[in-house]
Amino acid sequence: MSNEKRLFFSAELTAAWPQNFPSGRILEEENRHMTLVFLGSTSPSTLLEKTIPLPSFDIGPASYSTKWIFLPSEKEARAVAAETASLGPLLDYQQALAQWIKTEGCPSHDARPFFPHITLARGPLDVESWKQIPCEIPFYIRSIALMESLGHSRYQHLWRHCLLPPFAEIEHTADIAFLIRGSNFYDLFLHAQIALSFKFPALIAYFSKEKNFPSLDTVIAALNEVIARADLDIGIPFKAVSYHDEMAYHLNHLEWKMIVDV
Amino acid sequence: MSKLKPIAPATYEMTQEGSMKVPGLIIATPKLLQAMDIEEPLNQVRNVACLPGIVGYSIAMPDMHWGYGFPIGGVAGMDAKTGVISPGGVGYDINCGVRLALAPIKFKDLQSSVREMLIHRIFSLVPSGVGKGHKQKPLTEKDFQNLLLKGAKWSVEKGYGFARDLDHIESSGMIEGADLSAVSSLAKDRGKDQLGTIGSGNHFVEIGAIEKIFLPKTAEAWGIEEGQTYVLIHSGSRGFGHQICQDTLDEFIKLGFAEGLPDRQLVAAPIQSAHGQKIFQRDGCCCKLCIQQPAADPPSRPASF
Repeated sequence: MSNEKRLFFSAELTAAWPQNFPSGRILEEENRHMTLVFLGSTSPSTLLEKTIPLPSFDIGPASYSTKWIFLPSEKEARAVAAETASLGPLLDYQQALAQWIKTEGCPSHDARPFFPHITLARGPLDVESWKQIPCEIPFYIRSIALMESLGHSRYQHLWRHCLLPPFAEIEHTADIAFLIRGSNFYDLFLHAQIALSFKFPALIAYFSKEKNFPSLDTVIAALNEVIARADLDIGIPFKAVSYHDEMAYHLNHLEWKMIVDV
Repeated sequence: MSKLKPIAPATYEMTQEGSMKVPGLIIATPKLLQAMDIEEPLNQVRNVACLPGIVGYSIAMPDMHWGYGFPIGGVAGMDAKTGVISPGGVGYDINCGVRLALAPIKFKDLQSSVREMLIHRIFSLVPSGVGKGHKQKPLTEKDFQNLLLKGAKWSVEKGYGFARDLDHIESSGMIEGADLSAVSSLAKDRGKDQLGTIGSGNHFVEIGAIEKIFLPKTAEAWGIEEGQTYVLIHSGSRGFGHQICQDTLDEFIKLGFAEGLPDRQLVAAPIQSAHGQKIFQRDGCCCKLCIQQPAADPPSRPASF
C-alpha cells in the first residue's frame, strides 16, 4: 500500500478575519492558509528525511488582501479567495522552495506560477453578496508548514517552521500599544500599519506606499499622516502615534514599542 | 527597579540620579504601589525629571499609569524663564476636560419616560463615537476666527448656550493669545465639524443625581443640592487638537528639540523662545474650542432641556 499523501507547503496565517462571510461553506480559521507549493501525491517520510530549506527571514511577512477572486471563474464560482498584496521576501522563499522541490524530484508538484491567495469558502456561493463586503483583510504569516490535505477543506501539518510575529499588542493602561518588529525602518512602518489595521481594517485604504525611512522619527511622522488622512475622511479610533522611541536592537531585527492615542 | 524612599505617609521620593534635574515624588500608598504596573510610569517620572527648567519634583499622583512622555497622573512645574513647554508630553487632547452642569430639577422628579426621552434627544443631537461630527454644518474659516476672537461668547451668540454660563467658565471662556494663523489647514479640516460633539475613548455625557455632599459650605455657595440633576460632560479638542499637537511635535522633532531627552515624546521648546510662544498661540485655539464643548454642546442643552 502506498504511503503517499496529498501534500503542500503553506504559509499559515494570523489575520483580522471578518466576523461573518456572506455565503458558502466557510473554511475554519485554522484551515485558512496560503499555498506556497502544491506537491500532489508524495511520500511524507521521504520528504521529511531531507533538509527542507528555511526562509531567510525571521519575522513573518505581513500584508493584506486586495480583492475577492472567484475560482475557477466568477460565472462558475466554486470557491472564493482573497488575493493578496505584495508579500516581499515570501516571494523569494516561495521560488526557492519550488526550485528545491523540483530538484528533489517530486513528480506531481504543481509547477504553475505562484498565485498568492487565501481560500475562504467553497460553493455554493452567492458571488454578488461577496462583492458587497470589504475585501481588505490584514494578515501576517506566523509559520511555514508542510501540510497534508485530509479532504473537505481540512488539513494537518507534518512539519512547521515558526516565525516571529511582526507585531504583538502589549498592555497599555490608557491607550493601546504594540511591540513592532522589523529588520529595518521600512519594515517597522509596514508592520505598524498592519498592526493598526488589525484593529480597524478600513485603514488599509489609506496605507502609504512610502518606502524611504531614514529614521524612526520619519516612520512615526508617516504613520501620523496615514492616521490624519483616514480620520479626516472616515473617522477612525486612533488619533496619533506617539514619538515614544523605546527600541531594542536584536541580532537580526529591531523592536519598537509603539503607543497609539485612541 | 526604581529606588523609592518613604519620606511621609503615602509619599515616596525617587532618588535624583543620572541626568535628572530634580528628584521624583510619588504619592501612593504601599498597597497602591504593589497593585500598580509601576515600572513604565516610574520610568516616565524619571524622564520628566530630566526636562530643563523643572522645579521641585517630577511628581506622580496616585492614579499614575503609563502615559505618553509624562505618566498619566504626572505633574511638573517649570521655571517660567528657564523652563520648557512640551506640546505632547501629557498627550494630544489639548485642554480635554470635564464639566458638571446643574439642572434646576430634582432627579427623582424626572419620570423614567422623561429620562429616556432626554437620553435619546441628547444622543440624536450630540454626535458621539469615532469620527462622528456635525457633517451638515461644518465651521467655516470665519466661524473659526469669530470663535477665537470671542471664545465661549460666540457659542452663546449662536444660541448654543446661555449668557450666564460664561460666569461659570474659566476666564469666562475667553483665553488670550490664540492665533488661528499658527494652525495648519489639516487641523482645521479635522476639527471643522467636531464642535459640540463628544468623540470617542473615555469621553461621555452622563446625567445623574447629586447623591452626597461632602463640603456643604462650598456646595451651598455653588448652588448644589442633594438630589439635584446634573449633566456631566467629558470632551476635548478632538481631531483639531490632535493635529495641532502632531504638527508641533513634528516641527520640534525636526528642529532638534528632542536631542538629549530620554524620550522624544517629551520634546520641548524653551518657554521664552519664539517656538515656545507659538505653542501658546496654537494651544490657545484648542482651549477656546474645548471650552465650547462642555459649555455649550450645541445644540443639545437648549433643545433638550
